[in-house]
This record gives sequence, C-alpha cells and structure tokens, in this order.
Amino acid sequence: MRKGKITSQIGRVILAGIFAFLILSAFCLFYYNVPIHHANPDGSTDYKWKANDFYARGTEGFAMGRTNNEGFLDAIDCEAGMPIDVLLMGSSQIEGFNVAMEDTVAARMNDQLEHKTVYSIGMSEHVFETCCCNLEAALERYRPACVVMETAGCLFPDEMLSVMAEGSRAELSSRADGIIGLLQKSDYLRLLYAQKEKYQKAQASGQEIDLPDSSGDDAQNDDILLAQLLQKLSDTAAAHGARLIILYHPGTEVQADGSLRLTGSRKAKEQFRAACAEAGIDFLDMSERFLAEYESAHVLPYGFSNTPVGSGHLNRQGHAMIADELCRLLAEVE
Amino acid sequence: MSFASVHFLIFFGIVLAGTALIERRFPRRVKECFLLLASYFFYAYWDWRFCALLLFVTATSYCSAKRSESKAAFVAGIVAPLIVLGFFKYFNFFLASVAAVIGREPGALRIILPVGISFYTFQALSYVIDVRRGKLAAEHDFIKLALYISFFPQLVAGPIVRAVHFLPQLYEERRVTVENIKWGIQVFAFGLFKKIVLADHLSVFVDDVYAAPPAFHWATIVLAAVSYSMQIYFDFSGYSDMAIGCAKCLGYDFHKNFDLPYISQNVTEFWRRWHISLSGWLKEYLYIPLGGNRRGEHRRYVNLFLTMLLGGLWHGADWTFVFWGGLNGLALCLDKAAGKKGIALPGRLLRVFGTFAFITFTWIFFRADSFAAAWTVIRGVISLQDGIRQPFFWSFVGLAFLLIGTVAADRKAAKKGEKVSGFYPVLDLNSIWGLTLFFTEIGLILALAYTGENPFVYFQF
Repeated sequence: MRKGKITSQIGRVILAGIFAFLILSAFCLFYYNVPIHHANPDGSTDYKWKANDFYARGTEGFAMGRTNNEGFLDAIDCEAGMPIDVLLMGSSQIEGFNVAMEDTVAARMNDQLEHKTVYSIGMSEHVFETCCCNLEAALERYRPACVVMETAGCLFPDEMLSVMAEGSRAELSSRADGIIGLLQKSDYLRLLYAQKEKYQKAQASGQEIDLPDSSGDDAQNDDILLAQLLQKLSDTAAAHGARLIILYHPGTEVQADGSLRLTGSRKAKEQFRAACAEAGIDFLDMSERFLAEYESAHVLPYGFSNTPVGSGHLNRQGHAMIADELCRLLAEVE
Repeated sequence: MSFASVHFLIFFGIVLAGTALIERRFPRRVKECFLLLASYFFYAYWDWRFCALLLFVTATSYCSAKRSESKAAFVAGIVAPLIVLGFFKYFNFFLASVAAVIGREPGALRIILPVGISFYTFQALSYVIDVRRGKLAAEHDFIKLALYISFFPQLVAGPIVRAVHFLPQLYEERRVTVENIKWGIQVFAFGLFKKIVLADHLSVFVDDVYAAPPAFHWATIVLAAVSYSMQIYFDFSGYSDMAIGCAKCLGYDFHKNFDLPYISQNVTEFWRRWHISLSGWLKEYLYIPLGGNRRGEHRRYVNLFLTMLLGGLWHGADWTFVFWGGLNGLALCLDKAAGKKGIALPGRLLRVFGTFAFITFTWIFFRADSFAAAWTVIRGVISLQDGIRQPFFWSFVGLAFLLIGTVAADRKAAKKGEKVSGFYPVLDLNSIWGLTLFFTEIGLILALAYTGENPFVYFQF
C-alpha cells in the first residue's frame, strides 16, 4: 500500500516535471530561441546558424526573425553568383542579433544604397582576430567590391597580432554534434546554459555584461607587428580586387557628471589609424559620431531597455549611426 | 552566505536533513545544539571573528535577564548591546559629525560592520526588556536563548523576532514535516523570485541612474525613483519571505514582515505594513517608553518624530538616513494631526497614489550617498532635465507584478469580507497542476535570475 503511494507520488512528480518543461519551452520559443551553430565549410566564418530558422531573443533587447538561406542574419538571401558590393564581417555587434532584421547595419545600408547589395556575414564571437583569419576565404567565397571588418578595439597583445598575421589561431567550435548538440535543441536548456555562463563570468568580474575595453589611454600596439598585419590584410583584399575598410566602434561610458567617455586607448587608436593609412586601408572611426549623437540627442549606441544603460551590444541607433557613416564613406570614396 | 546563493542551498539542505534525522532519534536538546551550531557556522561564514560578538551579546542578555529584578543588571543588559552597536556601526559616523562641527579633518578607525548587528542586538534588547516588564520569564537554558538570538533564518537581516514569540516554540514539539517543507519551500521560492528576478534586475537600472543623475531625462529619473521603491520592497520582503520559509521548513513560525505596503492610504498605514517587525519594535521599546500618546498631543508628536528619527539612524550611520526618518516622522505627525482618517485626499486610489509618491520621494534620501546626490536627483526632475531616455523593461515587469498581487489580494479580501492583506501563493503540491506550477516557477527563477553580484539591501544595516 505504502509502496504504491510512493510510486504514485514519484509518477506525479515526473509528470509535473514534464509539463513544467513543456511550459518553459513554450516560453522560450519567444524569449530565447537561438538557432544552432553549424561548421561553415567555406571558411568565410568558422560557423553559421542553421539556415531559414526562426529565432527570438529577449534577454538583451527584443528581436525575432528568420535566418537567411545561408544561416546569416540578413534580410536578403544569397543566391549563387549574386554580385555583392559590400561585405560586412564582424562579431555579434555587426550581426545584430538584438535588433529587428530591418534595423541592422546591412539592412539600413541596403535601404540607403539603392543600386548596391550589402551582405553581412557577421557572426557571434567572430571578433577581429577571427575575421582576419577568415578574410581570404570570405573574399574567395563572396568576391565583394568592398569588405568591411568590424572591431571594438584597436589594442591587441603582441601574441594576438602574430596569430592574426599568420592565421594560425584555433577555430571556434560549433558544438553541433554529440550530447552537447542534442542538448542545444532545447531552448530552455540553452537559456540555462547561458545563465550559467553569465553567472560564472559575473563571479569573476562582478558584472553581468562585459564592460568595454578599459585599457589605459597610453597603451599602444607593437608597431612592426601591427604594420605587418595590416599590410597582409590590405594585400589580401587587393589580390581579390576589393577595397578594405576597418570599422572601429569604441565602447562608451556615461560619467557621473552626465558626459560620455569613450573607452579604449586613444594612442592605440591613432597608431592604428596611421598604420591603416600606411597600408592603404580605410579606417572608419565611430568615436566622433557617437559623441555628437550623445551631445545633440542623448542617444547611446549601445544598450537596451532591459540591460544596463549604454552597455552590451549595438542597439538600433548604434546600427543606424554605423550604417550612415559607412554609406557616407563609400560615397566619398566613389 | 546569502540566501540567494548555491552555498546556502547546500547548507540549508544539510541542516534540514540533519534536523529531520536528529529529531527522530535524539532528544530535543541535541536538535537545539545542532541548530545553534549551524547558526554559528552560518554567521562564521562571513567572518568567524564576529561569532564572539554574537556570543557576547547573548551572554550579557542571559545574565541580565536572570537578574532582571536588579536595576543595575537590567541597565547593563541594555547598555552592553547598545555599546556594541554604537561602536561598530556609529563610531566613525560620530567622529565625522564631530569633526564637521568643529571644522577639522575627520579621522576614522577601520571598523568592519558585522553583518546583522542591528537585528540581533535589537532582539537581545527586546528579550531583556520583556523579561524586566514581566512579559516573559527569564530563560534559564542558555542554549535556547543563544538559539533565539542566532537562529540563522533571521540572524542577518531579520525579521526582528521577539523572544515572547519564538522562545515558547522551542518548548513545543516542532518537527520537520512534509507539510511544513511543502509550505516553506514555496514561500522561500516566492521570496527568491522577488529577490533575484525582480529586485536584482531593478537594481541595475537604479544604480545606473543614481551613479549619474545629470545624464538622464527627468522622466527616466522618476522611473528610477519608482524602481527603487519596488527594488527595496522586493529585496527586503523577498529576504523576509525566504527567512519565513526556511524557519517553516525547520518547524518554526515567524510573523509576516510585509503586508502590501504600497496599497497604504496614508503614511501611518504604510508603517503598519512595511517592515512590521521593526515598526512594532520601535513602537513597543521606544515610542511607548518615551511616553507614547499618554502625555498630551504635543508630546505625542515629539515622541513620534523622535522614534522615526532614531528609526532612520538604525538603518544606517549617515545623516541622509536620519533625514529620511525625520521626513517619515513628520508625515506621521501630520497624519495624526489630520485625524483618524489621515490626510484627506479624495478617493482611495488618489490616497494610495499620494502615499506611494511621498514614500518614493523619501526613498531618494535613503538611496542617495549624500544630500548633494539626493538633490541632484530631485533637481533633475524639478528642472525637467533632458537626457538619456531609458524605459527600463524590468520596471514595468515589477509594476505589473505589484498590480497583479494587489488585485489578487483585494479580490481575496472582498470574497471573505476582510481587510486587504498580503498572502503567499501556496499551491497544493499533492496535485499534478500544483506541482507543475511550482516547477515552472523554479524554472523561471533559474531562467530569469539576474546573474551578477548583488547583495541584499538590508545586509548593510
């Protein structure tokens, strides 16, 4: 009798657990529904999202949409042989997972540049280091007239500069196979995993969201290594008949007196700008635009209504500012 | 060891299992010793050196109460905890204030504020006074008294449990039962949700705005002030819920510490619903000994004002807290002067809104680091300052949560024909749907929790 009661109680708990899991999964369908990464065989990125898949995200900003036929967050599909005028390469910042599809840099540029096609292969975790190593494959695959590489910093350790110049870094893993791949199919479990990652990061830094580059104002790169890297990038682009633009968007910090401070080393930025000019690369610095927008309209390029003020990823306005500046630069160049 | 940490959950699991095992096999004495050791371990987890302080406060209270007929012993029992509190919490504040008056550079000792000191010294004081007043017999069992003062669910941030309420429970057959655990973990989870989902997310926005008030649009500053009202409520009431839930799991009962304070129609009602254990303590051991309302109208206002002034100081060693207490004291006096119905604002909703607006205004001084910082916040609103607009999502979630809770309480009260009162959404965990909802709640807490570091607001007091 007692054994039967215990069995029935355990059965109830298991059943309730299953129901709760289903409810939570339904909630995540619109709150944290992120496609799975798959390795990208053409090497233009280390991985990309599952193609034509619905996504939704409410943890940082609110956005939902569908990946394109290649698995990128583009409003347009990339058909074979489609001419691409501007190719955007970069991290989750340029990818725009946190804003509506029509608000990303690529979508806005496509609106502004009527007879040009802008295509973004921005992908999470594909920071400048990764993009440098993927540049050749990306140019080979898309053959754009112009390629834009995004970076949030201008200061790199010597070791990283060497790795970028040599292209010898370890590839980012997609983790789409095995037990991890299987677990990733549950949005709720992925959300828990993301929470765990954030918790561990916060334990180490005390902050939930990464703070922008806080290196000192005087720090600089190794001159020779930087010149070598940028020359190599410039040569690679030239070999494919593409113009190279490096887009730099500094982090911002609201100060106690109400002013806005740009993070990162100013000297490193100037050094980077000079090295770019030397190598024949266009360097687009968003610093002035960010400051001007804040001065005139108190608009911040980063952060959302559900995150700390001015922190995290580029928001709708940030994407718009970058799109404007890129269009302006392209017009100037032409 | 914060309640909202994995360490605490492991600790509590061990204590709960240990208590259940001990009370089935050993005399009650062993269980009391086990809980006492667990409580001291809990306290030592912050800083083991302050266990000696806790023991000292307990020992002085024990000795004083045993000789309660002697005035000297009684005075010693009152003065000893006050000296401890005064030294650790107010010494540097006193030095800085004196230095400011005589125009010297303030010196300061490096004194670490022992966590929970304001709470356990007040418990010790209430015990000594109650024994002296004859409300309670002096406790001859040192272990029981030590357990009352150090019982870990209420040790570091309240509620301030009275000896008359808790000590008798130690003589009763209190057990860890399935029913107690079912109720206790639901109340604990409810508090955890309020703390790590609502309060902690709100703190992100509030901290941003208070760190740079000149940067924000006036409407955003107002939203931040309202958000702080919600943050401090969710934070502290969440902690109280967790304390109540933990105690219940172990078989003990604590009184409710919050009762929908933001539906109050005047400040008097607010203080009946907010931090009830502190309001009750201040009334019983400060306002009434000062003379209460027995020495005429004017003296009553003075007593009320003084009580709130000291209540403000209890919260923190800073003049902003004293001012906050003074503002509340002033409002209470005005409220009393206006008659039994309070300050006559027309309509229930308007009265609730007016009270909420006033309380939110006073919280500005409570939250700001200085008068200058508080003034920057206020000036930003008065001058209709332009700046960053941030319609913070979690502020609206918090408002919705408050609203839904209030409507549910109102409907429940209307059905029963009673006064509106807060209640815990305790489900029947014997049914599949009850269990499903409970598991969903736990799942949502894990999924939505703020993962950054954010200690309980009241730990600093």
